[in-house]
Amino acid sequence: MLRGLYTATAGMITQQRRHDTATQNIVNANTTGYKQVNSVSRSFPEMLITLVGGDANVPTKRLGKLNTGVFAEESLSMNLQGAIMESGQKSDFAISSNLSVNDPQTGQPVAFDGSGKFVRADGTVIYQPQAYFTVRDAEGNTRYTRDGHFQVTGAGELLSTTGAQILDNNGQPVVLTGSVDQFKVDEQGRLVDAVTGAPTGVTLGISVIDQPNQLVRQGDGNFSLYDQEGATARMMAAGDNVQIRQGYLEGSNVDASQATVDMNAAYRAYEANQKVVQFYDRSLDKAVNDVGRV
Amino acid sequence: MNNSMISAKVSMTAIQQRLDVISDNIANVNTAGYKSKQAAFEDVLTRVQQQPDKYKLDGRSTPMGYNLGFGARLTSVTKDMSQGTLNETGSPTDLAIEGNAMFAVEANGQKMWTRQGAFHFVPDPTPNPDPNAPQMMVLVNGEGYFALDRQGNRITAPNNSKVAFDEKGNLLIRRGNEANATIGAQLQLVDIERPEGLVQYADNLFGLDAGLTEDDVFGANAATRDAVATIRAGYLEQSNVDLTQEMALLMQGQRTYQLAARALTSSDSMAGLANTIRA
Repeated sequence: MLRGLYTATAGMITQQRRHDTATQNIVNANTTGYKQVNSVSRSFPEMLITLVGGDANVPTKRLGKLNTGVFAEESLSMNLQGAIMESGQKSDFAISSNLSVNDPQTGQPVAFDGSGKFVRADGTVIYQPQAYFTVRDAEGNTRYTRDGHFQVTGAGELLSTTGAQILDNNGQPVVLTGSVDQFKVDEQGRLVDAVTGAPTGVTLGISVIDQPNQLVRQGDGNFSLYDQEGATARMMAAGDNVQIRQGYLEGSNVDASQATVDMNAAYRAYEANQKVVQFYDRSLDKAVNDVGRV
Repeated sequence: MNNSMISAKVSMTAIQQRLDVISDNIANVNTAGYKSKQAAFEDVLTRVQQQPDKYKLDGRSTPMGYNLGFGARLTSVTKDMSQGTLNETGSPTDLAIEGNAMFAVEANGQKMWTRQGAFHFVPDPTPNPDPNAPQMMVLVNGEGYFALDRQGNRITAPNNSKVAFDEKGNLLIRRGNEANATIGAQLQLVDIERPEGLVQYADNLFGLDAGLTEDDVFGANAATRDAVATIRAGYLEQSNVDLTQEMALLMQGQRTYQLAARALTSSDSMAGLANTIRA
């Protein structure tokens, strides 16, 4: 078979993935706390091409290297801060975070770019740590989410919008003891008395993940942490530049126009690959049906 | 169906449901005592497409596997229990609650709660057969349900007496030419501690959620003790729907629906391209 046929097919599959990712971003433009997903493509490892047969006197038969395809390698979450919108509900929360970390080589704070990463001169990448609410889902797993639209049940439990329990900084579910009108949380996430402002001793569990690129999306707004690369989660500490705002919600960070353009670009690239497959098909048609016709 | 089509279809259904909630709010913008509803979204459970280990190459920054999502869905519709504006009507039995509380009423033999305070007196439907007993009138709200007092009984007053309410809900009755008013029953006003424990029914009524008791939702002995909230006589509470907010959400929903429909068309064209490789 012609090598290029499979290359073009791989291209079509990759563009389909890019289109799917752009669609997912567009339809989640209104979801609270949603982080945009970017699709990263990568070409197949190169193959060395050599000449078979031909002139025996030719000293070298190597032609060169060729990539034989492309695949959608990873879906990268973009952890930009979403817009903070006022909702007025006492059970709505938004995290506004801009954590700084010191570069271990220079000891200076790292200057992260707009998308939350910094590339050193030698090519290694440092990602900006991000803060998340800690929740426990129905199976008892610890998950992280940015969606702060919580609800208080009849029994006083604080639950996320999908029914997961919100945990405090000791890993226990947060349970309200008084009326919802008395529920007040300060900027550090501590539950305070509504009248006196004195801390009640319960603090919302805000986890800081140092390598947010190691988080895996579980759906329902939740992320889970796989620590194979040594990524850790710690509770928010006093000096962190993280604010918890009660009565506000963090919107989705999807740029709808960018996502639409990505979708169109994926569609046209899919079309271009489809044309290549069509031309290969016609060449094969000639080879099979027309050559050697009597 | 490919992933984009499923994603766009699921999301369009969710946006349609959100538009239903918004239109419910807008239709009730003039209903006294109505509390607006809010819809919340989440992205649909995603599938991680497994990649074989030899796909792991230098420069990769995320764990193995490619993440595929399937759109957004509606997860919950919650009530916004904030105070609506007060509208002066002048009728002494029109009552508005200032604070987070509800009146207790008897509806079809059951105890339910409502914010709707357009009370008025009607002749007693079960009159006393004794001809010498004074004729009574009984307090009902705008939908016709009997108001309850702190002991759980209907509130009555003699016919043709002047009535008024004070800010604790005490009924003041002045009969005929008496100089002073006597205090009749006290309207049962209960503070709400857990608004999510209430389920909304028709006719502006709220009932308890399954498995919850009055003590859970309103606090211990809420029926018999004085409430923190107060009553304003001569006023009615309007709905707390913010029309500007609802219109902004409506426009946002409309535009997202258009984008999702565009994504659906685009994925349909891609499927068409795959079909016509060999025309």
